[in-house]
Amino acid sequence: MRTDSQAEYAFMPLYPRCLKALIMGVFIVWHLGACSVTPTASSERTLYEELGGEAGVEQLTHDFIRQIAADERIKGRYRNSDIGRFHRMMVEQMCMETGGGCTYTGDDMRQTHAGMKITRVEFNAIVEALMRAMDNNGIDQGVQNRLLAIYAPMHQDIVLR
Amino acid sequence: MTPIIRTLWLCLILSAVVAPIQAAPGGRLIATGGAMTVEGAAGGGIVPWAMLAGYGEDQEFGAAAWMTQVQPDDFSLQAYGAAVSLHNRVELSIGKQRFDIEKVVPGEELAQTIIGAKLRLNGDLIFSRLPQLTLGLQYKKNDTFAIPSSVGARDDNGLDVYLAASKLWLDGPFHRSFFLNTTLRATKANQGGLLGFGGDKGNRLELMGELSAGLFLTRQWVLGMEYRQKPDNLGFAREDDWYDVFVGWFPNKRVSVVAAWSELGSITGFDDQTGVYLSLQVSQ
Repeated sequence: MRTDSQAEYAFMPLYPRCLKALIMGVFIVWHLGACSVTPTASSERTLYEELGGEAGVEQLTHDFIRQIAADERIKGRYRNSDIGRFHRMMVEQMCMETGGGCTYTGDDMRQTHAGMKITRVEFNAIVEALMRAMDNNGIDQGVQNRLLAIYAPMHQDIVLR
Repeated sequence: MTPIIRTLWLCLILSAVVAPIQAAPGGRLIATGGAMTVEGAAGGGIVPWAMLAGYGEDQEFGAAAWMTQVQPDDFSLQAYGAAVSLHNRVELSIGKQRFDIEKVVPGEELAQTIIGAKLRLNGDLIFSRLPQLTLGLQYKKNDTFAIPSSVGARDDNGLDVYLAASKLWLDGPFHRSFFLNTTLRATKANQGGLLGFGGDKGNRLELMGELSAGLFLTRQWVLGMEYRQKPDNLGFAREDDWYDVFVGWFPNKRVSVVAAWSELGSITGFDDQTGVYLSLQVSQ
């Protein structure tokens, strides 16, 4: 017959094992996640559709530009810009990058920001402006992350060019 | 040494506490300063990460001050400290730990002071393809060496050297941001240094692996886990690796709270020490 202390002893080593299993679980989930992200052709909606299509992207861009204009760290950068064109190009680019089928007719990111010496703080401020705009439009966190992941690699074409 | 430590303390705490009142928080994105470890470096709870304390970008200063309480079954740990980061390149930190061992030696506690420095070698947590890579040092000085010495510890101070690699994937599994950190540490510290450095079973620097992973449910909430391998240098009692599972809350760049369930293994012969971990930090 087992005494209480033996029973307790037998149970105790489970804690580290559970945590080890959890850590393994993270890696498994990571790999499964990577697989499930691969679109199943017709069934998965494009990011463009998730953002609300043409109307959604228009509204998000409008709010994004308002957030930029309200941020002391970056608004000066746009003082002499043609805001109408900036808006159109932003919409085109977002539409193209998210699978909306548009053609972006603007300059590439590296050309656009050449010589501007955009700082890392300014780039982050723009990311935060986009985050606030997406929050204000009630965009789902997963959709937000998909859009942010599209824009993030532009960091190397924009910052300190 | 003590007056120097006290002065460093005052400077760091003043700069960490006063700076937030003066200026807007730094320009890095939310949660990219991580939390503050129980040893004073920016990181998780028990593993230092490659990110530097606070939110300072490449032309800014960052800072953080923190308090942590851990309640394993038979003990209690109180820790606090402060850190500053310069131009997102260098981090300097100081931390103090007090570990109540009332159950082992009535009326006694173990305490140590930890001075840390980190140098970001390369990379950015989010924007570079390769992980952010940081080299770190922790000079630890045990302030209650009579007890560790009596159970076989060799030194009252030691230097940990570590290399940490951290990466965040914005669009990870389930379209949630996923964080992964691995740290390799050379150390002689017994129970992090609270039981001194080196011992009768071993007195060489050993290389230890540490791991943290986290999934951001939103930008404010993260769920994660950590593992820290530890040496086992003292013959009088076994030492185990540490684990924890945590929830982090980053309501804004000023404040963050981390709650965890920690599995600390055997401590001075008391096996299977598990308990709640709670940490509060203010940052700049």
